[in-house]
Amino acid sequence: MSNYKIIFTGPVGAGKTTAIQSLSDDAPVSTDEAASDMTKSRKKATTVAMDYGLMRLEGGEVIHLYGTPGQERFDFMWDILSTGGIGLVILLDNTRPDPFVDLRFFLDTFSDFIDKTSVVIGVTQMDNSPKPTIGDYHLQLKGMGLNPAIFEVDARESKDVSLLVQGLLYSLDPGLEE
Amino acid sequence: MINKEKAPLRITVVGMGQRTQHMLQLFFEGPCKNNCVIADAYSADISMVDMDVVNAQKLYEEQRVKFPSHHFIVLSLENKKINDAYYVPKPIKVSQLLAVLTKLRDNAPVTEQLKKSSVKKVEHSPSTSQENNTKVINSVEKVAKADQPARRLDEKNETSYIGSLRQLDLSDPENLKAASYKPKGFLQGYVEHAFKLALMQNKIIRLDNSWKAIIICPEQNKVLIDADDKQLQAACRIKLDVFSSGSCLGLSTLENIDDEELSRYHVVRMDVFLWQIALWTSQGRFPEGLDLNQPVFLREWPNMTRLLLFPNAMRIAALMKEQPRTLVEIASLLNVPQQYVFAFYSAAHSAGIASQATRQVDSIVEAIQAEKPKKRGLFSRILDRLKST
Repeated sequence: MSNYKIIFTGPVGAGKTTAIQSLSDDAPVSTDEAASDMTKSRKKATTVAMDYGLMRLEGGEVIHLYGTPGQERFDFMWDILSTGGIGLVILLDNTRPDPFVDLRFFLDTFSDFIDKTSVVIGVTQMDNSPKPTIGDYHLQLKGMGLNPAIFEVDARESKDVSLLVQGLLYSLDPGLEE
Repeated sequence: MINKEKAPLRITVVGMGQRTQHMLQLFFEGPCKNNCVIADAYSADISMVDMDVVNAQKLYEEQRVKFPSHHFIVLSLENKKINDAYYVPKPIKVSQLLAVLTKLRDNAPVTEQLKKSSVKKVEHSPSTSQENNTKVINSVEKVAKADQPARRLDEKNETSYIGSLRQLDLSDPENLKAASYKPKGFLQGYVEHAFKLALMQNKIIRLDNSWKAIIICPEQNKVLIDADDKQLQAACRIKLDVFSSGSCLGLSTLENIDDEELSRYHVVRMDVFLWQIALWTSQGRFPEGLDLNQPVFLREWPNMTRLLLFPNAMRIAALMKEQPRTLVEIASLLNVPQQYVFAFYSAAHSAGIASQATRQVDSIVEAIQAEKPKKRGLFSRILDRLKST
């Protein structure tokens, strides 16, 4: 039986670990450690290897949920993680100094994967930092020739994360039935 | 007068009885040679205000707030100091009124010569001071911050916003008519107008009507409303001619609001509010003027995690986003009742993210090109799992 992956990526503190937790059927595996470098100011603990969770489907199939490490020094893992993935979920933290830099970075890093699959973007922390707005993100993306789904997300809310992943699936196949 | 190749000037009148309006009509058809017509306020370019009626100043200021893009002509026995308005003294002389209309039609500023004549540009004193505006913003921010940003709306009782329209027979004109609605004929039109105004002026706008007030705060991207969903839903269904009897709908900049009044209001995000109002007004119909034979396009995905989601909304968004298609085609491809697609389009159009593809450039709006999946079965199973979350 084939196993499929959905990849969650984004900067430190954007909510990847929480998002995977909110969807996972089993207790997710997290490799968080106390942050000791530039990430410390954003998050007390950060994911040093990867997050992992899974969704069990009817019939026994399993969808693996992988979260990329937040720190850029582990970016060698990203290619390995994304191989065989269904699609990409980028989570962005709206309280970061320049979330558009993050946006461009992750879209660029995963451009090959996105070309082969699809991408959705979830923006977290908008209740703490309402700007840039979702409209501002759309403008940025249009400037890059892209137009994916972007939703405001609270990673703690499983319904938000669920809708984000649904957006990914419908982007991959608009003819998908409810 | 004037340049016959240009469309007639559309003039709305304020503070004038039917007899005066009739006289003006004769003037427009005669000396003006049909270069001007009387129009409703929303389609007009010019507001002509009689400043000698009771509450004239108030009427004038309200009109200014409602229609900031209008040119203003004020008529009075006395010279009025109002800024950015053209003053025509009473009794009106044909030559003086024609001179103003010619200037407006040519879109040129008033010349010195014109100023020297009895047609005068007069001063306007703004009704809301910057200080007051800041005070209100501070008060509103206190309430707005207390809002739950992820407010979720009831997803049950879908017929309340999808309506009970049956599958459309395109060949039947009566059927077509019943399937469309005129947003301007409902509260939706007023709310949309007030939103544009608030954003354009970057001021807090208060929309008053016969039952409740709606306060629009563009800076905070919030709407304050002293009504629950049930009341609002009912208001959305009332046709404006009934709703506004006695001129009970009005727009004004908000100058003052006390904490007690403020505490009664619910806070809703602007995009969520517009989407919701359009859905409840549409009830599964499409906006009048849309050509069902022409494709529509979705400029960007709606912020689905914060909007009222109804069955098939995500599918419709994805398909509409993929490439421009007609609404009927979308309904057919997805095998869903047309009213779901009409309702989605109405809401997305109201939110400013969906339009009819009338230009060549619109038809080439494209989504990210993903490989067509051969995994529909798998995706369906993932979807089932996600929906059980």
